[in-house]
Amino acid sequence: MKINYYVVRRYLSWLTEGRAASDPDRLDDWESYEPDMDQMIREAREAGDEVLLKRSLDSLIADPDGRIDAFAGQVHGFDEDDLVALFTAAFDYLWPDEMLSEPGAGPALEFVPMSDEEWAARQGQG
Amino acid sequence: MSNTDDPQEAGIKASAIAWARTMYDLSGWVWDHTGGKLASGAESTEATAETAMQKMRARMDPRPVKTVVPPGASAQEEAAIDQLFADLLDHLDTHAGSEDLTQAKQMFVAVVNRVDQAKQDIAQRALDAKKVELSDRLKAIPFSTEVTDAEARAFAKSRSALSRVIAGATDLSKLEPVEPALTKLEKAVTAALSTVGPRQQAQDQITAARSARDAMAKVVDRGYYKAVTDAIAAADKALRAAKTASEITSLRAALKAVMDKEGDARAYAAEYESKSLKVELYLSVHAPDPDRDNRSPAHAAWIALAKSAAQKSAALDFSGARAELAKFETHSAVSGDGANVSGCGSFAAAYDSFMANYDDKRLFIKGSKIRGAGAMDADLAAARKKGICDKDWAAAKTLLEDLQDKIDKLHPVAVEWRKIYPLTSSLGSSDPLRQAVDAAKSKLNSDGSGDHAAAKAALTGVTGTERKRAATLARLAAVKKRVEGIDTSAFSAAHSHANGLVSGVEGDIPGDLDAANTGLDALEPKLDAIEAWMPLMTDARAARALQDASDTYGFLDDAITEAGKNDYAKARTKAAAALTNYQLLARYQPLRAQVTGVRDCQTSGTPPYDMVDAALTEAHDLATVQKDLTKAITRLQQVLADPALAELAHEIGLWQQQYPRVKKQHDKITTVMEPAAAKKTLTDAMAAVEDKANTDHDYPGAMELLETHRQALVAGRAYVANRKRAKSLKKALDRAVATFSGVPDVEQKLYGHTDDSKLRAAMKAADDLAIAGKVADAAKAYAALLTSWQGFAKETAKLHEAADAVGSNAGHSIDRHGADVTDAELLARLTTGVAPDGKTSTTRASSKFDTFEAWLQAREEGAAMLEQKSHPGSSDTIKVSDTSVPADVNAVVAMKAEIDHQGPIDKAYVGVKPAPGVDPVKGKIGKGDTYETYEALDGITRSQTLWLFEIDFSGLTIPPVGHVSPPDFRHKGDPKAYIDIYTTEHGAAPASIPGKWVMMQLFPLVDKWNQELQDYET
Repeated sequence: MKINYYVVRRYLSWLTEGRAASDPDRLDDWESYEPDMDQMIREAREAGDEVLLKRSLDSLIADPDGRIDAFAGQVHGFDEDDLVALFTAAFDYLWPDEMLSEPGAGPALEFVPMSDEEWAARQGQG
Repeated sequence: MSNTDDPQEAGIKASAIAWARTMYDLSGWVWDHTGGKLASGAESTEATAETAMQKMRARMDPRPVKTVVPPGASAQEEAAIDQLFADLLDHLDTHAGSEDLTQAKQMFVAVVNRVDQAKQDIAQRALDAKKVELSDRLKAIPFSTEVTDAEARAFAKSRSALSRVIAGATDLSKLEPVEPALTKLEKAVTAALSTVGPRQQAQDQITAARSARDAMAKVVDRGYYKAVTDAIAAADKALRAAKTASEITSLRAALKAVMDKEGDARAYAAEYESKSLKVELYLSVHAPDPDRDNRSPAHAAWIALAKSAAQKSAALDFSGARAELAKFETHSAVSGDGANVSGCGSFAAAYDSFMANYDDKRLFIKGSKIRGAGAMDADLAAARKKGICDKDWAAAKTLLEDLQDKIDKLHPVAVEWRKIYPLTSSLGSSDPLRQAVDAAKSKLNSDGSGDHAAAKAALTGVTGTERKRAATLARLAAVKKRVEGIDTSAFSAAHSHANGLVSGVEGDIPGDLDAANTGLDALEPKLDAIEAWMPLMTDARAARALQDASDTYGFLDDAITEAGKNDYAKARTKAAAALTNYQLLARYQPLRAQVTGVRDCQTSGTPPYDMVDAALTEAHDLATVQKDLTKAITRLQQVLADPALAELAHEIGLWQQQYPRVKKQHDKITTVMEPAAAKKTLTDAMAAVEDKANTDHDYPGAMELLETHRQALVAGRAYVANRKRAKSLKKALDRAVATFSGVPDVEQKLYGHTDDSKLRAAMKAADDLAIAGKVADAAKAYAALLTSWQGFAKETAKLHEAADAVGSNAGHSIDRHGADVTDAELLARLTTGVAPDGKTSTTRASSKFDTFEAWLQAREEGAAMLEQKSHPGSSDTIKVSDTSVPADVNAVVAMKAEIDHQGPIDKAYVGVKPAPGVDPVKGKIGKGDTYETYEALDGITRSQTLWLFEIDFSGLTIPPVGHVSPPDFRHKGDPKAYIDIYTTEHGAAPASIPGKWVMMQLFPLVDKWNQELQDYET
């Protein structure tokens, strides 16, 4: 399923380009990212995108190769392992009762850059 | 005979002479056939004493030439002429004794006239036949939309020009130039068509090469990556210039020669990675860098050798590249320590093996949340640190082997754990499944050690019924997860349907597991169908929005109907069919618009109008009634293939292709263009362009105007961007003057004067130029104004940065992204991790603002966006200068925004392939956080900013339960933490939360910037 890359990037950028990612002393301290995680989920819920965000994280963590680094942002040079660890921490923090998919078996999502209009059309009823 | 070359003129003269001879003859003189000269009737009368009628009769034998049936006459003409001549002879014979030749003369003239008429008709028939022959040849020249744009245009012009000459020819001589021209066109079209296949193949090859390059970008070394990139660019350029099939063959061969080396390049890259990692390990222990910006001699040697190897690899000389790398161990800067490269390599090999064989299992365990999952990262890090940080390679290998052993034992338990654990979150402690999980947990330690066999036995030892229940619950959980994936906004009906089915199954558990499994048996294929239908449906919806926004064609109706009946397999088929139709519609609609344009250029009621109109009517019927777009397209293409309309059709097609692009640009600029008078200059010009095409139907003229307007828009865009920047900059200066009012002579420093009057005057002068219609001059005036304000902008930017930095990590944007940063510094940050401010700060994209004005514009517009927000429950907008936020857990403490600068602001480098790396502090190994290959970008038009409210915890000292001591970093953005701590310390909630707003991030946004398109990807 094609997902609007920009929508997911916007949410995940709270992790990769937010408060904690801006502090060189806190980069590997995932707990420091919790206010950013709160900010991210608040925005996603307001837009009705919580499930989208959760499935996107699950998909990226389960199948990170060649995909997850597109969400690294520009603030810090997170490598793939960093991103998997950070996103996993966010998933566990936000949905503690849920389990991530097994490696390689996550939701089949394709993150494609598209306009707001196209994204709306794809989500339209009918 | 005439001495003219004009056969028609010669014919007329011959007819005139013949006519004169006839008249002369009949008025008393006759043609002496024996002597070939005129002889008087009197002389003849004297010789024979015959009647005039008899004399005339005698002259009819042999039959005069001018009465003879001309060659090429039709049988009907021949019969008519012969009949007239026979009537004449009959008259002469019947009235042989008569001297009155009046009627005989008239009859003779009638024969001659009929012969002349026949001759003219024969000539016309020959002309018509030739026209038909040439027209048929012209129409037989293949019409193709596959040739290049330039060829299509040239062919269309030639076809129409020839069509006009053929139609207008009045005699055969006018058609003489047509034949060679037709031959030339036939050859040109044949040659062009012969390149269509190879051109398409070459294009496909280039596209495939691009895909291959992207796929290998993170694998192959920078040298081969460059070779491939250069080869693609060269092939692309050569294809655009190619005129012949052989040129295309050559460029394809050149590209293939490079792409064929991919296997070699991958093999070399694997060796390079392995070698590089060993070297990095060696360097981290035996020749560490003083810092990233100051390499050890050995590291510098490696960098030089790697660079040299990359040059060899770029030249496809992988042997040479290997030889360069091999020099490291014996390099003078490495000397006696070189042997350790192999020692480090031993650990690297063990690590590689671990990653290849155990990392997936490690991640499986980690994600299972089984007891010991948390040790998976920690154990691996410990092994790496033991080697990389403690330099104890042997112990490191042992730790790695220990971890492998642990994974071997824990993984089978985790497999069983994953089957049951996710089902137990809502089960009571007495539930057998929950008890099995708890029992397994009790057999394991938090570091993953323990009695693994017992743990597994606990999980697998549940009774047959419970096992069945667990399996059923696991199936149900998997199904629920899939149902959750059905987007409730995009597919609410399908989601409800699936949810209803799930509820039905759920009701059977635990009472009737067989029924539940039967239900799941039925449900799973339905979910398969839904999941197969959804992507097609979203693609079709997107296509509908693009091609048929008003849903005129209703191609998706059938799919919607089937989905409404919950038959998602059928719905999928129908959606696929709809998608195909929308793809055809994407071809049909512009074609229809093109042909409609052709029709509207014809005079109503004329044959061309009727012909094109009929084609449109038939195509419309085919498209809308018969729903056969392929036939509709073919019907319309017949109009384009008509030589008489070819040029016009092509020009209209060209217009319809280019007009929307210019219009889009025009709308983008004029929407934000001010003042109104300046905007009017562009909107009037666009209206004139549109009139030319839509009212006058003068498409070539419209195309000329469109090009002129496109150039005007370049100036318009610059004007809009410069003016917007100047306005924001002025606001930023005003804000700074107010914010930093304590700075001595702040007006003089930031306005260059005691007040802002000079700045306002300069802006007004630029606006006046625009109002006068001199948009290009106004753009230049604003550009000059911005240049003259550079000093103020830089001063202001630095004041803001300094203020942000007080008590905060903010205030580094200018040092890393400011206009003073050099290209070399940008690249160094990407490839070494050393930021332009000298600090270690790795990144995937290193970008800078070209000017301080652009930087300050972005800051000001970001601040303006923040100042449009309000805290929950408040109608007051936030101020950047606020020193507190409400004591509310949901108070706004962060704002992220994108700024569209309307014009280029940036230069950047973006990383492609991470360099192999070893972090001697954290003990990380593998892909580093710097980049070996990268792309250079420019023209970027957006920036991104992050504003944070940093809570001031300095007045608090007592941490409440659950919070570490302030000022912990996490709490800087956590209003709840402040409220909790304050309440604990003071026994009452605070009235507000102190702190300050800072601009934490501001950088040009390179994400998904398409360098080729000079725009962001959509």
